[in-house]
Amino acid sequence: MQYEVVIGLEIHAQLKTETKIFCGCKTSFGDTANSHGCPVCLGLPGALPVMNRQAVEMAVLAGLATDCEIRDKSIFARKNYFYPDLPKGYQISQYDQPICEGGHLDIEVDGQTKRLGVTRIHLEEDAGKLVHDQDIDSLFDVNRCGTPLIEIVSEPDMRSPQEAYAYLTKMKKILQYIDVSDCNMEEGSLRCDANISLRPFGQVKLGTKRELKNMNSFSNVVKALEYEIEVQREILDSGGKIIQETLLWDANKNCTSSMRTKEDAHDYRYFPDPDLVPLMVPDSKIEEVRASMPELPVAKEIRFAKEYNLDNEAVMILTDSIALADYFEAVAKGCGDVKMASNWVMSDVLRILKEKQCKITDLKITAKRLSDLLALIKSDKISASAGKKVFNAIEEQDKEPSVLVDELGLAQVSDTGALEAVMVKIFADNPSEVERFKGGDKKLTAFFVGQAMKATQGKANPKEINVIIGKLLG
Amino acid sequence: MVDVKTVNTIANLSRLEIADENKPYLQEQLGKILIYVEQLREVDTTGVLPTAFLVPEHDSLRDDIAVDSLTIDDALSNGPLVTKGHFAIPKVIG
Ligand SMILES: [Zn+2]
Repeated sequence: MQYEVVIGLEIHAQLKTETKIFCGCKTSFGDTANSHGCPVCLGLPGALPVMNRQAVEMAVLAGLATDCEIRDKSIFARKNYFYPDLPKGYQISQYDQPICEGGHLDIEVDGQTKRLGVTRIHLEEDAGKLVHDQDIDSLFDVNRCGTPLIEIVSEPDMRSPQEAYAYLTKMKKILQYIDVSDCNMEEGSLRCDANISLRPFGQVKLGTKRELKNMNSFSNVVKALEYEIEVQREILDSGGKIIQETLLWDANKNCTSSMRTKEDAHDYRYFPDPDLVPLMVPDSKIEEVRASMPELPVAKEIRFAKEYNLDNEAVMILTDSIALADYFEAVAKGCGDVKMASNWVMSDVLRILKEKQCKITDLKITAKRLSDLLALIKSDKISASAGKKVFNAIEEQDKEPSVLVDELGLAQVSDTGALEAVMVKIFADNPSEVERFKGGDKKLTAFFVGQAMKATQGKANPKEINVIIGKLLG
Repeated sequence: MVDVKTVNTIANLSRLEIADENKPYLQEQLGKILIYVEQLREVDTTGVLPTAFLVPEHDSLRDDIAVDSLTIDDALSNGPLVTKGHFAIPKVIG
């Protein structure tokens, strides 16, 4: 039978605040275990949580960026469950009154735009980290405990793993643009769970869904979904019933395993957390946050395509991050040549970023220096190949392009008199080539240009040489 | 009276081990609590919004500024079992 695939995604993104959601402990990653703990995040009796203003603003920003409604009053609730990574025995989250609701996100799949619903975005606290140990059973580190998270829940609107991938990519780009999360899946600052079910085409009622967890990259999300589609298809085709359960993806074995063997349906017993007053977000705050919103990915992509006449691939590469997009725009405006700027940024700048594994703002080859360098090439002060040498030298030596052109002796010789003298000598040294050239073998132009480059250590302006050859031998 | 199945569920959710001979006693006690809550239902609350918070609504946010955390020794001092700078806990998922 043909089945329709129905997928919904839950994304957890750690917010880039200085401090935890309900206490002033730092959120920094990779520090000594249990160095960021206090009575609040350790869950000591009597300690009271106080909400972090910055986390609220980030959640509002995420809501506005995905066209959600922002609730003027939202409620924190306790989600009760016993797990050793949760010192209090409950997680503070939001339940029936989340801060953001009813948004959407547009994705492109096979050249078609599709609108996907964002059910809600709510604020909650992250759990601590469990380290599994050989001798002792498990070790607990409180540092991550209380790191602010937003959970972004989609509608079950995706119909293929590819749509899920497009949604994730788009959502990540938005979260990075609005600078609320690092979205680093390896460090766990972005996590994704998927709900998936199958139903016969045409059936309105949704099939029984199963939850997939533990995918540590977007490509693993796709793989896990593809795997689960086949599993469910086989069960349904053989007349079996899908049993609702949570599955863990094993990226090494490329298969899933059931997370819980016992059939204890979760009973989280949510109730409003009496320790926290309702979270009020007045209109004035929403407007203040809206005013701080940067140009979002879609708007930037459309503008880049129109304003710079770039193809889709170049647009997607250059708008990958705001920092890269800003860099490109500064270079394009500085040197006045969009094509040249996009070529250099996409090849040389991205190459050096990859080599150095650093941020674009840490490069020695700043946008100003690159546009100065490109201007030197455009005005024939140096050749394109000399430009590549200067480019690398800037990054190594942290000097201005014009200074390096002098120091490296790369200035192009465009002085007609000097070049004529060079050419006269070359013609005298190669009489037979001159004869053949005069006899119509124009391919020898390349030979003469090559000789001129050799004689000037690559500094001769090839355009100028061509003119001189025409003048002297034509 | 609540049934013994409910007592078992609540005990499980609370990670409490309850001896079988104590269960009838708890069934009765939990039943009494429910009767008490039932009594509250008799009050006419038409038009009254549920009250979860007693303090008036106000801006109660904290600025995102770090303060000193406890020292690691202090943080760990309440742990029943501490090792390698961590709280040692029973194994959970195998
Ligand atoms: Zn703390």
